[in-house]
Amino acid sequence: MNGDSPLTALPHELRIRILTFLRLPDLWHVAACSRWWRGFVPSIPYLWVEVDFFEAQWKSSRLWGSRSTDFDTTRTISRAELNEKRRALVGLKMGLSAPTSAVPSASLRPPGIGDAAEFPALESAGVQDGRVLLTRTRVNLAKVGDRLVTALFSTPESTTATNDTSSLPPFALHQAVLEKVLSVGLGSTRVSRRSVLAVLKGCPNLRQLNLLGAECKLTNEDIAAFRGRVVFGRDSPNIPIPRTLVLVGLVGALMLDVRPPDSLARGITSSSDLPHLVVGSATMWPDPQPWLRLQATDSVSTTQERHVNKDISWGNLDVPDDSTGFIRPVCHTCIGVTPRLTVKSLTDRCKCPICARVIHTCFRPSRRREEVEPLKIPGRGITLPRLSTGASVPADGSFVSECRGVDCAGCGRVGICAGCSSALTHAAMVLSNESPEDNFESPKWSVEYATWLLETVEASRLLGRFCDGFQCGKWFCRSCLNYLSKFRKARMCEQCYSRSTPGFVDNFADDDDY
Amino acid sequence: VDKEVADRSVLLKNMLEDVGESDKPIPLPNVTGKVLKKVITYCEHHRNDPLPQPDDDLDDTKRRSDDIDDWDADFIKVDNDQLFELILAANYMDIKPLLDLGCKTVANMIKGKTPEQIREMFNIENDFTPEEEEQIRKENEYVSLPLDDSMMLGGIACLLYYSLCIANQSGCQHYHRWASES
Repeated sequence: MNGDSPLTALPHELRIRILTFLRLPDLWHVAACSRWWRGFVPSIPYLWVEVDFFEAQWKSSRLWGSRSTDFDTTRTISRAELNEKRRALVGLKMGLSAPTSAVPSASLRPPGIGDAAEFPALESAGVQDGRVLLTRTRVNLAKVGDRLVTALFSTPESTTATNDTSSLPPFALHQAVLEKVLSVGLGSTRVSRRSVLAVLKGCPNLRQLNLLGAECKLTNEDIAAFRGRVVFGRDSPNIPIPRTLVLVGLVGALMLDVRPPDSLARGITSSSDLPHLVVGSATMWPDPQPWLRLQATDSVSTTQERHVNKDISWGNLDVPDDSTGFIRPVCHTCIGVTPRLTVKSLTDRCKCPICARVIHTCFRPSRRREEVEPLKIPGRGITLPRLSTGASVPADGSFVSECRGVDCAGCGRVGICAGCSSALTHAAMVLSNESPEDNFESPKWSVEYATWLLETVEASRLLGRFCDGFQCGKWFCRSCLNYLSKFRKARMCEQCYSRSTPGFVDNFADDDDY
Repeated sequence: VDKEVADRSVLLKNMLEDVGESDKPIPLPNVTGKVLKKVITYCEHHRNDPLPQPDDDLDDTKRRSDDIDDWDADFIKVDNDQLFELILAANYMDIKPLLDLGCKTVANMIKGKTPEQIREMFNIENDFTPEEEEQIRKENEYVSLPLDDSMMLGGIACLLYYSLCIANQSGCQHYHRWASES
């Protein structure tokens, strides 16, 4: 131990207390300070109960050096605005008396909140007339996620096998710590299948591995094996809904003039037979072969059946029924001149096969808000989406913490999962003394539980990501943010982006769909 | 000091309850006078704040380090030695808000810093050998960015162009045949 250091001279519990306020990149830095810290940091179970790589990418600015910069954003923000954002985050502004469990945890905070305190050096360098000049450099952890995951979650056997010749203790979580890990979030990282397996193998008590937004190649067998422990996202390469796979496969098959063997048995002969298809936000197209091998015995999820309109939404590129034979995931510019495509052109990345640009249209969801009949709770000032899906709703509300839904400023879509939508509707009906719908299979809820659920979800709706411009307070759903970042290289609304980028001409202004 | 100010410290509160009404001084052997003054200043300013609940530590929001209000931020602007003395005093006197304030301040000092900066700030000796430092650097090494599409296409075009140039200069028969046909 370094005896001269005041930090290391602190009592054990105080050192841990300080470290609990740090996020993954900072912990990594502390561990790189000395040999003693390298052994100390990964040995504290309390620090590693929840590991969120997605959160980490927004926090430390200098983890990977200057080459890691994705973009630099310079903006001004007063401390009062910052505090207002914070208050809004925890529901104070809305007057919500959110229960303790509903207050957004630090690991779920949207980026941009509290940055002033997290970049003290930059803050102190940029104070001007009472306003704080923030220069944030986003760390693109997506590029290094695999390395981090492999290092942290490598089992002792593999660690000793790879580092036999080195005297340096590996920066890997200790076995006792691995047993305490309950949740790992790999969102927005690029990880290999090996890393995912390492996490699942290394953490025996892992309850949830969150792959929302993560890019990794998993086989269908993996998905079947991991179901229940892994949360897949729309950005995950495979969507674990058999029906969706069937439908996506059908579209792919239409391009190849091949149809799934059971399509006729299902009564699906053309796209007009498809209830609804959403492939929005998919960043990697899966291998088409597994779709074509789907058997007629595959279970069909009912989550898609709420969409009554028989149209196809390919990302944000809504394709009408009558153009079934010409469904092409291409950009707006190229859609008019695209020759007949093959599925192979879609398997690599979501790029326009004509101009090789990333297809930004794929990252935008279709508008569904108009189809939603809102439900107003009298006396509470809350308007809820009425999306009764008939999906089974866990009575304990365990899904709520995962739902980060909120009305998107870009597309206006309610980003709430089907389960939470059902729960909200049910809770609203309980509170408004309406009789639950027939297709609701949830148990009888008390008014207290319904109230708690409403407040929890309302609070969780604040967990979205705000515009990086930090001047408008607009919230964007994940899809629209991806869309914005792909096009503008910055996750800002057009007003903020225009302000921060002199001479910027917003091409989206002419885009009627947006 | 007033009793309600002293009550901010759980240690003092318990001792006062044990001693009862008395003019006897309470010894605080682990706290220097200078630090005690700062602690009293803090307690006086926060005398009307609600007392922290025992289960506050379980609250996730307490892990945020950016919720320091302006007065506290000014209060905690002290040198490193005094900061750690304050933390130790708060821990000894069991003043949770002050302890949290100190820990958050230290955490904020660490955030966004490189290992070198952290070592310098907290006087941590770097006992890694150069080889080990290189290994750590490799661990943190940034994975090379995938080439941008346009860059890749440009690179391919350049390669193709130069290979054609070389073929032309070297008198390649296949090239001349292809050039004449096209």
